[in-house]
Amino acid sequence: MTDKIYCEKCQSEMIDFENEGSCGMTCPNCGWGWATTKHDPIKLDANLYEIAIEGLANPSIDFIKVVSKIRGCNFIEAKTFLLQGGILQKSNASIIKETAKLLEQGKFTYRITPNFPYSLD
Amino acid sequence: MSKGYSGYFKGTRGDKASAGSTDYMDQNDNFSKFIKNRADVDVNGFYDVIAHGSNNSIQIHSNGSQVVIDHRSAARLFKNDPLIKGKSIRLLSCETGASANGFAQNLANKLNVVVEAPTKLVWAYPDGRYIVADRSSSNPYRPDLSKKGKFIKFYPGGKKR
Repeated sequence: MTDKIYCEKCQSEMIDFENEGSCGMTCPNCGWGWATTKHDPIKLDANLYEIAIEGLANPSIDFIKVVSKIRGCNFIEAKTFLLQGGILQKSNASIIKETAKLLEQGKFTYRITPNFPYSLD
Repeated sequence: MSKGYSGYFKGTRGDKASAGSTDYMDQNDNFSKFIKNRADVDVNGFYDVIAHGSNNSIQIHSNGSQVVIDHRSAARLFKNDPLIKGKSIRLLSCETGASANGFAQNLANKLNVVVEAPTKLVWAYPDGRYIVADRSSSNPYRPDLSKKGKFIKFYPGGKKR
């Protein structure tokens, strides 16, 4: 619960806003307000993360489809990768999060390095 | 990439622009709309770069999405831009000067130019005024005016003034 803020120009009650990159407050009456960078740690995390899976002796077609989608490769290449296992993807936190969600849904066993501090929710 | 070429931004590169500023934000971003009204474009010959930022990255608007880049990618981007290349830079990007070994220092080292950057969040107002301050602990949408920061110059090699 935050305290009410009143516009210094017209005394109307100000409302908070968020767009993709910014957040702040604005006066719905006169447009006065302020803006700064939205606090979204995962979007501003410049670290590279690796997500890896273990090799599977006999991968199902569902597993192959998931790996094919993530790696952007055909099913034969995806199956070859799945048999060996290894680093599936190296990318920023936002993309790794989406990949991890796909792997969770597919019931893969995976690991992310370095330690991934974000929830998959 | 939203760089103001089309002249949307007052005080930035574009048809109606003053020299010395590039905006890497979405043109509909409120921070971008407000900061473009600032009076001190190209202050002391520092080229203004406008982008959302953090201690170790900036965020640029590219092909309709937001891309987070580190100092290495930013250095490549700026080196390939004839309007920025070789110039001292002022980052109008939140918290890029928050630490001695953060984005601004690393960028200064990479580009071998002086980089000026804010120690805390930059808050922009519709009239072009802007301040550097922490986020209020009681309301994350407003600045804490009791915890102000400032712009610091970072020099190649690590000297800070």
